[in-house]
Amino acid sequence: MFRNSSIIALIALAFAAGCDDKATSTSNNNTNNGVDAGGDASADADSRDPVEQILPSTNARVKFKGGQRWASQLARGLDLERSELCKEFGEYDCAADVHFIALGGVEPYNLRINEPLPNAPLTAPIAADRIALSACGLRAERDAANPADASLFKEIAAAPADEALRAMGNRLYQQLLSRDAQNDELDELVAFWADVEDAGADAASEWATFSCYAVATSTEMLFY
Amino acid sequence: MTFRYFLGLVPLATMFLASAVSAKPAAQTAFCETYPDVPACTPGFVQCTTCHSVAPARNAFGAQLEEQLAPGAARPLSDQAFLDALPGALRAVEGLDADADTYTNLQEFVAGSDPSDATESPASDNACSTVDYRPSGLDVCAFDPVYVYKKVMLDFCGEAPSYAQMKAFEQNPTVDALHSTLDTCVKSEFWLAKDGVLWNMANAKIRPVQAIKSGENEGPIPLADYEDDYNYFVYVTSGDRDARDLLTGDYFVAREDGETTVYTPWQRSPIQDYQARGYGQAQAVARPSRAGMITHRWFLMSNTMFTGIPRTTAAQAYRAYLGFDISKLEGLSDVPGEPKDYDNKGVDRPECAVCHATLDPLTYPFSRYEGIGGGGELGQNYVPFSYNPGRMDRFVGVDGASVADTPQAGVLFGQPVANLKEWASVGANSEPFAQALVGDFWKVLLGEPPRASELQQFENVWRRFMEEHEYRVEPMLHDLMLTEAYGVP
Repeated sequence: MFRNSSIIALIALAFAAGCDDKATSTSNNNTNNGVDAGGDASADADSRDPVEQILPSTNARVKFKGGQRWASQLARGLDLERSELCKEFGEYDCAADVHFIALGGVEPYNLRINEPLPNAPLTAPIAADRIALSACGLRAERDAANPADASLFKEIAAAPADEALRAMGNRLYQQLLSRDAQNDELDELVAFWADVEDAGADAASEWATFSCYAVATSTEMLFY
Repeated sequence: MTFRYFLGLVPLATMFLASAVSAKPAAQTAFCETYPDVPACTPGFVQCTTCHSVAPARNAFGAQLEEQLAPGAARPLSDQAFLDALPGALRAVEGLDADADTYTNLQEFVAGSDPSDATESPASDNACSTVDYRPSGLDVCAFDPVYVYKKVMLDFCGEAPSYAQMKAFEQNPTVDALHSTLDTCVKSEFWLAKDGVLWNMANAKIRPVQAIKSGENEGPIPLADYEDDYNYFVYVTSGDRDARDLLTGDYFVAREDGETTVYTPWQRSPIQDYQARGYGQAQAVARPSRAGMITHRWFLMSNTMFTGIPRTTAAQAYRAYLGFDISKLEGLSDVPGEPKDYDNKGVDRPECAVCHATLDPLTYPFSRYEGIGGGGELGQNYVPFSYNPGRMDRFVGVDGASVADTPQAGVLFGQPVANLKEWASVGANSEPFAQALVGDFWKVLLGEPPRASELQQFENVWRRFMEEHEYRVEPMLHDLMLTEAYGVP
């Protein structure tokens, strides 16, 4: 079971991850923010102006990726086979079958649902949580079991240094959001360690799982 | 027999759309004589919903207009009195603000927004023009190729670009590179395969029902195979093909699934198709009478079914391919002297004629195409789902003698047409066809219909689709990709 402190920190983290209202940093103006493409952290400070003016989008238009696209991206980012993602009863694919309609799918032949539901049902975020959490848990478990061959959490340890946390955090952003993390986003992930470290032997696993979950369920990951 | 009674209720149901104090369809064109250049008048007439919520109930603008319309004169106004008073009434209320959103009714009409809907308003001044600022990483004031690259990959290829792909694109963030990406993605399985994007765009046009599907994965009552329709839609809206074939093509398309889905057009007579695929799937309309998807077996089976004058069929064609939903009072354009009520359904009653003066002449060209059956006695010879010039005679016993007088000629957009082939040609070459098809893609790619502030961009795209691209979808998609609506974050 996950502790309350982890959940609270997680919620804060989820809002922080990929939700920077200054920019989503997918453009050619994107800066490296002190982390190289290989995922190594740098001590260089972010030079952004703290009083930078925010100009709202004139279009203000985002679309949900839909369960299938999001799940495929999640699997690729976590270096998992698509078929390894969440299955209800170990058999029915969560994104492609069980929660398909809730996550924006259509089924015209029998259900007569010709277009995605105009509004996401209550179960949509629950389904997304479930898929993300199981995928992140699987990645964390595999990387912990075989650090030498880890794909995401290479530096995972009982007491990882801040630099290790930043490297793993940046790799998460690169693999899931296809961009480098910004310094304040990495700061959040480093700070998150303090919330889980008293979990003892489970701390590393919790940090990896929930850091991943926060990025995987961020606005930037779910919408475009 | 059950179907006959059921379908006989359709015109009756439409009676309840309007009361004896009905809307004035003539107002739709009269409005455009006063404001010919507003976007809503692009088809030559405005929608009933300009003044009505559901006719005869008026919306906020309609209520303001009614107060200025021959005040003091006895109601109901005659059509002529109504038309005489309308221009003055429109001018009288154009400076008012029906929905209290601070924009006058006229400003809203000019901008293409709804003066009765406070959630729609003319575009406010673009903040970008007054603020010299570009946030790092995302240009919200101009077309952003990197932002568009990610969207194109997701919309057309079905996958987000990887970190490496993003970095590579950022080295060369050009519009040419976007065009190249789009060219690649419109060949992807995500876009083209069964249950892909194009396939699913046809759902509302085809309205499949697995229980009555024939062919592969047939249902318990196999009547027709809608996969012919899906294959055809994907084929016509992809590659270098003329999308007007949706209504005018005289061929069919086979699909071969695999790592790369292959669509291949084919041409067979009904007999040849019967021999090749059997009765369950054979297309029964001979080549000279084919009119794209609206004469496909599934379309005739699922819409015409057993009816003599197949209004449901015409209404679905009008809705699916020309963008007008008559059940929502869209696309009404009275034909003088109509409806004649050849089948004695009572559609000439004033409250029914509001819609049927448009719908019935729209329907007559469909009347020679067989559905499942209907009319007459068992044993009478006819081929289901085929073209049959003498079809109406069979319905005399059901709908009365005058049903045999139902003409094959009809009227679409005020233009007389001799038969369904002409109907389809007029429809396919019309602005509403281009608007409807481009609008379908707009909704898929932007998640919603064009906003009021985007109507000019939308019009640019569909006009170029007609005039520059000769109705080919893929070049149109390149235009759409470059719009501000799609490309500005």
